[in-house]
Formats: sequence, C-alpha cells, structure tokens
Amino acid sequence: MKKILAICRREAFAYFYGPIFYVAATFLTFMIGFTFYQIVKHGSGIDANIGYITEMGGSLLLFITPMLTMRLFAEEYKQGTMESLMTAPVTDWQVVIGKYLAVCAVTMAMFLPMLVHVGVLYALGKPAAATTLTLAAVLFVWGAFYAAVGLLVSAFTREQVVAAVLGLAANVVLWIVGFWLGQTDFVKRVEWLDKAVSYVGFYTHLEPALRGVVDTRDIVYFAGAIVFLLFATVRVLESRKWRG
Amino acid sequence: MKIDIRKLEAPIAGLEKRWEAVPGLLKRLAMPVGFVGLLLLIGDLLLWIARGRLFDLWGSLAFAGGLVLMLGGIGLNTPGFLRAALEFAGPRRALYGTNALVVVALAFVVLTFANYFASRYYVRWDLSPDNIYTLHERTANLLKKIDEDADEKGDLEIHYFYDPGPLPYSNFYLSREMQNLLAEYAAKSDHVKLHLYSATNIADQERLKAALARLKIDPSAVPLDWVLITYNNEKQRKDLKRTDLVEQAPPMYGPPPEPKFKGEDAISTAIRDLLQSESVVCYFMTGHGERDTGNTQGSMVVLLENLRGLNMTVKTLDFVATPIIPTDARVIVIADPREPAFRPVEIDKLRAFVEDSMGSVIVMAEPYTLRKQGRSSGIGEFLSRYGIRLRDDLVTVQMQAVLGGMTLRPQILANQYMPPHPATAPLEKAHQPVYFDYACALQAGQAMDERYAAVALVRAPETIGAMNTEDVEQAQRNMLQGPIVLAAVSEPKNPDAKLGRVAAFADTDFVALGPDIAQKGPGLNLVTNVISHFAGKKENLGIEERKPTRRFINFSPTAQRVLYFGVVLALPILVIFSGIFILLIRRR
Repeated sequence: MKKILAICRREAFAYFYGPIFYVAATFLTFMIGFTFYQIVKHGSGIDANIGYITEMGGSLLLFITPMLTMRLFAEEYKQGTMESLMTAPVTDWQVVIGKYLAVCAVTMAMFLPMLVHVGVLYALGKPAAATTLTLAAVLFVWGAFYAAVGLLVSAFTREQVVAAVLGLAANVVLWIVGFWLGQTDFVKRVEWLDKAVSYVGFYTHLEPALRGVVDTRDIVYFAGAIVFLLFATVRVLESRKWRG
Repeated sequence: MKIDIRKLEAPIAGLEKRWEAVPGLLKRLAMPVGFVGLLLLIGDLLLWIARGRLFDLWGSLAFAGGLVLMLGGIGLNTPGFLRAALEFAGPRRALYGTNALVVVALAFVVLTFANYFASRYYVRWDLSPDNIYTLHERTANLLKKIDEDADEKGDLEIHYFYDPGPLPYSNFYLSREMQNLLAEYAAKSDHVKLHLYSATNIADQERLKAALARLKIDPSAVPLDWVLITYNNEKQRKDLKRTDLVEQAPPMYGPPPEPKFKGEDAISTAIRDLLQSESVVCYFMTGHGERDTGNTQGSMVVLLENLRGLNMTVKTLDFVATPIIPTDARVIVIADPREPAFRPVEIDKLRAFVEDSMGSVIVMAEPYTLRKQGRSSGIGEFLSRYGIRLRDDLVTVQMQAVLGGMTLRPQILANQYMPPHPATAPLEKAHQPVYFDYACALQAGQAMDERYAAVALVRAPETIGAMNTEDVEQAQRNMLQGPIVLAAVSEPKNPDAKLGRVAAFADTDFVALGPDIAQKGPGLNLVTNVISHFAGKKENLGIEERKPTRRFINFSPTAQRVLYFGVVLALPILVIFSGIFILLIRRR
C-alpha cells in the first residue's frame, strides 16, 4: 500500500506542478460557473441540487481526462523512465493502481472550486443530502471510468498525442454507443442487439443515478469495467516488458 | 503478399530524423491542431445526433474543417503515429501481445458473466428528493402478483409509443417522465417487459407496426403518447392515451397551469384491471345497415380499438339473420341503424337483454338523415321505453347572440354542458370539447318502465332544433328551445337492481373514422367511457402524483451580478492564478 501511495503521490504532484491541471481546472470552473449563471439568469430560479455540476462536469471530463492520462505511461516510455520503474521493487499492479489513483484524485481536485457552488446552494436552499452525495458519487465514477480508459490507452503508446487522441476517441465511442448506435435502424431491428447496445453504453448506467436512483447493476457495470480496464492495462505493461 | 513490418523501420527512422529538423513551433502546434480537428468532428457528430441531419451548411463546414485539421495534425505527427503502428504490429510484439489478448479476453468473459448475474439479481435504492421514483405499495403488490403468476400467464408487456418532444405549454416532458416511470416498473419485476417506440425513429415505427400487426390492432387507431399493456400471453390488453396520462388544462389567460402527471395511477389501474377482470364481450350490431367495423370511411374502427384497449372482446352480431343475443354479450352497440327497420321481435329481444340479462345497449343515431329519406330505423320504440325520445330534428347552434350565425357542428365543453356522471367526469377534468356533426335532438324524460330514470349526459348550448330548416314557418312552430339533449343515459333508479342500462347519442359521425378523426378523440373518449361504465369499470387506484418538494432558489438582479463576478469570473481567475503562483514557486 505504501508503494502504491508513493507512486500516487509522485504522479499527483507531477500534475500539480505542471500547467495542464490548472488550464483544465480553470476551463472546468469557468464552464460550470457559466452554466450556473445561465440557469439562474434565464430560468425562473435554480433547483437546489448539484445536478448541473455533475452533468456539465461529467460531459467535460470526456475531453479533459485524456489530456490528463496521456502522459501517464507515454511520458515514461518517451523519457526512458519506464525501465527504471519496471525494475523497481514494485509490481505492475502497484504501478497501475498508483497512477490510477493519482489521476482520479487529480480529476476530483479539479472540482474543488465547485465547493463554492455547493456552499451557495446550501446557504440559500436546502439540497437533499442523499441526492447531493449520490450526484457527487456519480461524478467520481464518471471521472474514474474515463481515467481507466485513458490509462489503458496511454499504456499502448509512447506518443502522448496518440494517447490523447485515442483516449478521446475511446471515450467518445463509449459515450455515443448507447445514444447513437442504439438509435440506428440496424440495431433497433434486432431486439437482443438493441438491449446489448443499450447495456454496453455507459450513459444508460449513469442516467438512473443522475435521477438519484442507485442500482446494483450500474455499480457492477462500472466497478467491473474499471477493474477490467486496469487489468488490461497491467497485461499490456506486462506484455511490453517481455516484448522489449 | 507478405509484408515484413521490419522493413518499415528504416523509413520511419528517416522520418523521425526529419521530424527532428522541423521547427519547434510547428511541432508544438501538431498536437493542438489534431485535437481541435477531432473536437470539431465530435461536435459535428453531436450536431448530427441533435438535428437529425449531417450535411447541412454548418454540419458540412464543421465536418470539412474538422477533417482537414485532424488530418493536418496527424500529418504533422506522422512519425509518431507510424512508430506507434510499427510497435503495435511488430512480429515479436504480436506474439506476446496475443498472450495478453487471450488473458484479457478471458477477463472480459468473466466481466460479462458478472454483469449477466448482476442484471438478474439486483437491488435498487431511491435516493432522489422525496423518493419520487419509489413505486407505490399498491403497484408493488400488483407487480408481485405478476411474478407469482408468470408461469401460467406469462410476462406483462408494456408498449409505449411516444413523442420525444415536449408537451406544449410547459417544461413538462411526458416521454421523459413516462420512460423514467416505466423503467421503475421493469426494474421492480422481472416479468414486466418494456417496448419503447419513438415517433421520430423509422426503425421504431417499423417495430411498432410489426407489434400492431401481431396484436391485430389497426394502426390508424394509435395516437401519439399511447401505452398498450398486454397480459395473459397477449390475450388481454388495455391501452392508455395521453389524456389518461396527463391532466393538462390549456392556458386561457396568464401563465399555463401546471400539468398533473397521472402516470402511476393510470398504469397501475390498467394493470390491476388486467390482473383481476375477465374480458367483457361487446357486440356491434349489424344487419340494419349499421356502420362498418372495418377500416373504411365512416366506420367504427377507432371506437372498436378503444374498446379492445379496455380489455374488451369486440364481436359483430348480425341480428337480422339470427335475432338471438349471445349469452356472453354484456354490451351491444347499435351504430346508425337504417334499414331494414327493427322488427318487434328484435325490440323484445333487446328489452329482454337489458331487463333480464343485465345487458346494456348503446344506440348512436342519425335520424335526421333517415327522415330526409322518409324512413325510420324503429330503434326509437326501444329507447322510448327507457325514457329517451329520439327526435328527427337537425340541431343548429347560434354562434353569437348579437351577430347571429349558425353552425351545424356544436362544440360541447364538458365542464359547461355535461351534467355530472362517471362517464363525463374524465372529460371534464381534461377540459376537452366534443364536436357533434349534424346531430339530431334527444329528450330525456319519464320512462315507460318505472324502474328506469333517463337523464341528459350531454346538452347543447343555446340551440334551436327545427323540423326542416328550409320551411321557416313550420320550423318556428315546432321549434324546440334549448338546451337540447345530445346524449342521454337511462339507468335503474335502484343502483343495486339487477338491470342493464341504455344510452343514446344524437350522432354517429362524431366517433366515425374520417379525415378529421384527430378531432374526435374527446367524442370517442365519451362513448368509450359510457361503455366501460356500463361494463362495470372500477374506480382508479387513487395513487397520487408525486413531485419532489420544490427547492428553488431565486436570485435578485443584484445577486445575479454578484454571482456572475463570483463564479464566472473570479473563481476561474483564482484557479489560474493559483496555478501560475505554484509554477513560479516551483521554478525558483
């Protein structure tokens, strides 16, 4: 555990000492703040819950997470530090989990300024605590899912650009698979395929939680997907080690 | 042809050398250019999904721009991409990569099984404000019964044909509310199967068409926002229309009234009826030139489908050929009888059906048309026994008291001209007008059979009924002053008496298939309500609409300005400055 935390700390500080984190956090803070303002200005008021932070933030993570994860392994390959990391007394799992926890923590840290929004909502309204926690958890899962995808993609290549582009493409595919593919005539005509596509699309599993309904099926889906992606990342690292 | 991937090593190395010579600015531009291009392509894709078409002006511009930028970015990064491809496809890597792939594939199988079991055995917690997604206890009990009887009666299937757009007048989205609600039904029971059909999706429409063909439902009788529930291996069915799902008064003045979503009450009541009741048999009489029941102009096909949607079995009965009323008959509908006229033996049979078999008869007439041809259907004799007199006037309506003007199409508002009755109550709540076309007049009075009392069901506003509109003098002599009755019902004075009921409508066209069928919904609802009332429809379950407690925060204009400077400007600036500060400290 100490080794995992050491790797996590090293990676997290690398983000905090670099510009990408601050650029992304500023962009995120501005966009969510602007959304908040637009709802207040053009609506008849704002519902006292953090749904808009979750939905806007989660949607933006689609683009932001690949920019965070692109450097995780690609940079190690590029700078030649991967060999020293792999020969260090740590297992592949520890490396992967350490890096993954770091990117998850950094993703969530980008939302820290949003505590101001939460403060405003709690000062002026009475958000339901259970709903607030559920929506915060949804945001975390959303980010954690994208991070796992980005981590896997980063393990494939030494080019950061390639990792970012592939990460974004993978996120988009997973995002639209339920929406777009599920709406195509071909899929709609085959009932089992329609159900399968609907199940694979991850937004199908986020949607109930965004309403405040927590389902064990969705938990298993996300937990399973994240574990699977981390497992695949470990296998990719391992195979790279043997392939030279 | 065999490609030795290693042969590509040298050219790529050459490209990488050249890449080293590329100016630093161009190198730095490569990634953002490709990224912006990809974003544009994604934006175009989203535009496509949102607008349903790709190559309009903006879509084409976004697509072309995105493609150029992305290819430019890839072009600038060519050595990097080629290196990645080479690394991925090298023979040695492929060997070890395959090993990894097999293990990952096995893990994927495990993941699939985990999801499969999770989808079969799951728990759901409603943490929404005020638990609005928790189904009522009565609904839960009904769903439990479906699970218990699943081996014998199969699944309960819910088909929902929806308009993905919003309902007018409000920010209330019926399709979203319905889909959320139906998802809870399906989540609560393994034996509730959902079939959703979007009105804007061609494949969905094809699926709906196939389902309708299988269930033998006429597509012309299917409106938007329509729910069909089938049970008992599709032998029983019940449908719900928009008016069953939403109580929405149209805005007259000022802000639109809040719509009331009746979803759970309506759906659970329909399920209850399917679980508890046997199908009622309703006969449409033929033989006297009555309206057709097939899909032809002026036919009763939509009414038929409405009744089938109420879990009724609809059959036809040629009463002239065989003047015997089947024992399974509960309701008989006689729609626009003409000739041959009803014989005394037929009238007696009908009377015996009402008085001895607790059957009910609904008559829809067009006597004005018959009178013009100098004929009579003879059904008036039957109705008069129950206090309903069928006149052969033509109802005209004075449109404006001062300016005058006549219409032969009175518009009847339920809350003004329909006396309280279980059959008219739903229309009153829905604020729906019923249009009658060239209607005759009825009179509800003393019944010959003292056990019955006839009352008006629908009155016409400020009406004048005339025997003949061309002969003004005669017309004035025989003028029947309003309010005139357009529909009447005769029911036993003692509600517990074992007697049937009789109803009459002064028109038939108001529910007949025609080009203006879309306007006939309220009229169809009225007749359907009368028939279902006669068939002994039970009251709704009474599940109240649940809405989360409003937790709205309203900001004054000053507060909005503070908010703008605070969260839109100050907060992002604070974040970027803290970043600059940390980076500067780090450099030192």
